[in-house]
Amino acid sequence: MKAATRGVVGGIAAAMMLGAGALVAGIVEDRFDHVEHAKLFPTCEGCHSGAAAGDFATTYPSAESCATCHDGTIEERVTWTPPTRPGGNNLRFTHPEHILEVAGEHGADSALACAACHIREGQPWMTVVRASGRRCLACHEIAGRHYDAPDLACATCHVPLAQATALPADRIREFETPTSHQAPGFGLDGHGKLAETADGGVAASCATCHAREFCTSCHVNAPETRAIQALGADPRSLVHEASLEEPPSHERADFLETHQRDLRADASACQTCHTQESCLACHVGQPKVARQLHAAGPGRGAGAGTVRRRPPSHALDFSRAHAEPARSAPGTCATCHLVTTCLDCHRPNPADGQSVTSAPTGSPGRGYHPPAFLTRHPAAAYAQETECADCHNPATFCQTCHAQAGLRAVGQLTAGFHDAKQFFLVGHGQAARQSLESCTSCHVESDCLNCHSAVAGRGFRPHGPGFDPDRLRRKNPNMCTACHGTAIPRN
Amino acid sequence: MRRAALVLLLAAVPASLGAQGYRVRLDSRLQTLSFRGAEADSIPSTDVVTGPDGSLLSPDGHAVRCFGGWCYFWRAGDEMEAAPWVTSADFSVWGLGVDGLSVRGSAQAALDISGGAAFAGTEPPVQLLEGYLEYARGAVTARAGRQLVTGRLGFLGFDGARATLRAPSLGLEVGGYGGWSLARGTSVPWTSPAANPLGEYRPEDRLVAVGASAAWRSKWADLRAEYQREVDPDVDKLTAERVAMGAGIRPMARLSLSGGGEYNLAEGVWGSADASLRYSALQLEVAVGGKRYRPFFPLWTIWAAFSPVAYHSGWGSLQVAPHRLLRLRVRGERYAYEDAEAENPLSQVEDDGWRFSWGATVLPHADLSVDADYHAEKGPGASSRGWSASASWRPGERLSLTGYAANTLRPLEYRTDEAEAWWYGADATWEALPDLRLGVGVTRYDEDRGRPDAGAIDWSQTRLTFRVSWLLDSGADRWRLPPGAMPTTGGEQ
Repeated sequence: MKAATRGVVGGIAAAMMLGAGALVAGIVEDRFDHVEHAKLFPTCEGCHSGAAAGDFATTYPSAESCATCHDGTIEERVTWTPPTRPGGNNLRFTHPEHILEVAGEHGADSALACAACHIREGQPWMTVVRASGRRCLACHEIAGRHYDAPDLACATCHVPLAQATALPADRIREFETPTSHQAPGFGLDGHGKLAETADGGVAASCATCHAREFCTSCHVNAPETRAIQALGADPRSLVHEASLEEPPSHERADFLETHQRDLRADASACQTCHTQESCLACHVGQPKVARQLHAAGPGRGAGAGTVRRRPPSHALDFSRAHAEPARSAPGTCATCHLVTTCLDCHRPNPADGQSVTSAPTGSPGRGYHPPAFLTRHPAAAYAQETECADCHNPATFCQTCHAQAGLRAVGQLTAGFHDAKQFFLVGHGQAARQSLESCTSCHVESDCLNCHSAVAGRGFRPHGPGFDPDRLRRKNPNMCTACHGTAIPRN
Repeated sequence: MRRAALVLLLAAVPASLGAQGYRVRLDSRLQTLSFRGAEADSIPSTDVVTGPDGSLLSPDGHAVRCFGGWCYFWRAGDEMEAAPWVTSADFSVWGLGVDGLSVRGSAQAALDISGGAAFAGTEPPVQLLEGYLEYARGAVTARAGRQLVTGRLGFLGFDGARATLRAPSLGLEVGGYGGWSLARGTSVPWTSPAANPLGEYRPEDRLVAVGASAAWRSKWADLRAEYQREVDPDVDKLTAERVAMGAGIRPMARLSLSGGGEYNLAEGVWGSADASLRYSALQLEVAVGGKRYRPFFPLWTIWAAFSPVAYHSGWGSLQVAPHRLLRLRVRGERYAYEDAEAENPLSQVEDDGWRFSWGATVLPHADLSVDADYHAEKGPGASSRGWSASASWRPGERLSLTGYAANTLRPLEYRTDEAEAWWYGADATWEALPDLRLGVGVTRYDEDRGRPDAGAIDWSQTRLTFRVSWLLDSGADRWRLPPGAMPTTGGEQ
């Protein structure tokens, strides 16, 4: 037997042990040249004697029987070794069962019975082909596309994937996608409805192509889902990859505000894709409602990876607009943010370049202050564009930096640094009351007490509108003693 | 190395607790910079020379102001260099064997490696911004350690304890805290030498702070009341006592009204207050508001007796995204001070001002953004106007490059100084690993003080920055470093 013939004979075996992939492929020509041998073999049983009985050992001709002719004299010698075990497939099909049925129609003659499946109608004897899936569907009266067969019909020919232990993973990977899988909503609750049977089992159509591991790759609630548990376990099912689909509810404008309510009302939908850790991606601490979700663990899907999303209130540039709502309702902010998050922007970092923020974005030029703020901070600080002291301690920040730059009062009543106004010293009171915080970034109390102390100074009264001497004396007279000593006036 | 870092950070936690989860963000930054300050000087009036325009000058060309036989001026000081290096760690540890128990903190180590004078913010070298043990279970949250409370009364740090009780079904939350307070805006107490660079009067002992808050939340509205009090235990006198009320109302989707104000019980005066009405949509945000600002000074200083006056402002802002590739923004504000009752005809100063800014962000490509902004403000003491622009490009998933430039004109009212500053530079951020980010930047400042005399101090300089940010976690949550920087105006992730 020619060496090439080995493959042809192997093809015969494959034809007889047809798997799901081949069924779909339609009629495939057998590469063993049966036609060449047509005049030699009047029946199939001559070579495939065990096929009808389901005896695999005698389903293929032995090497010796081929050598009867292919002995090197009569015909060229060939090497041939019959397969020792059936090829992998997921068929429930057996030849003995089918032979009986076919025999009833065509008679016991194997030439007719086998030809019913393995020779095209109207073709001459020995034009052998592999049996086709279409023929299976036709005989079993299953209309439509093979992969779109009704649920129960799958089990007519196929065993569940987990039982088809010999089916190679590559063949599983080649399974086609049924049309039902393309339907809108199938990836959400659609497939679940199809999968679960009334008796708590799983639909045969699912089990034919999938096993439990496939479902668990997504489903956090796999241990609690009866249909998934009804599936057999088979890691080969992971050759098919699934991805989580975001439900339309998550796209709702108010989803961030309402998702806790949804979870409280019906946790089952959330439990499918989310673990308790999903909540931690956004929420500080674990909200009580999160306990309705399952904790991550073995046998469960990793779950949807949640990412922080800006709530609608944070539209556009919320960083410029968050101050008022944050002051009014800090508890709302605390739902998602730690105070240390605030400090990323609200506490200066001396090693930050002017251009680079320490904010989470790490984006250059997008810190709390606008670009080049250092060069224009006097104007913003004078009129307190924002509350500087919330983030910048006047002593550790303003005074330290100004002092290092030489900008500190020298304690003398001179024209001083403010040289743009001839009589600034005389008229500084208005400026001081308008922006006392700016003054204190360079001046210390003793500078002012040179003139404003009633005891050691010149007695200029610094008190202005809103000054309530009685209240201040009552609350803390120590402040008064700085200027008045122990002789604090009564009003 | 990852384990070593964790071991260090968890050194204070008994090993037997066997933490189940942790998250640590290490961030290290270094900046090199130089600065040149001013130095007060004086000469006898007899040494003064007269300039071509008749002005009085020192012999070396500084404009002088003469007073009592002496003439005073400020000359340029020495150029100083600094290289502050700051490494911070934010950490959270949970799963300590007791459900609801966790440890959170944020610490910072700062060092000026230039060997020169310590740069502002680098003292003390190790600072604990926050560090507390938290128990949060059901309706109760309790904390002990260093922590910050925030709200309408600003940020207050303290070492002490805090408890919060909640009744979620009613939307109620009440809480109280007490401890030894920190100086506002920093992580050191007022008794720390770092908080007294000019040798002023400071309290002898740490102040004791107590406070309480009550809040009610519903779908439509938030209400919150706060009380805060600080006492100097050395003299057993009050140094601060304030209350505040705040409210947020959401009458319809996307529309919100928020506001509130504070009252200074110690001084008997109203403090700062604000109110704003905001409409926020995906492509549009419109807001109008008003604000009153009055500075707050504790009573251990004398400043409250100097009667600082408040200013009142009205503002409006509009942000709109007319196209997915374009965002526009504009904001304007006018403000005016209350009567200071200290006007002097010899030295008139402004008592009102305005601010205005507009800008645009263009996103011509998913990996490219261009920003441009203009601002102008004019008010008492100082004014400024200028523009800034930046372009950011993300050539790959992990690399972000930015170039930027800005110009500012900065006339001062009380100082002869018409400075114009140019600022330009570049920055690169590389996400070397999903949890590791490196950055480097260079910025050049060129300034012209706009003075005709020798007092035009040259402050121009080049600054370099280096950054490393590293996230460590136990894998029990999904936080990662933020995605590669695309500095859209949206900023946050």
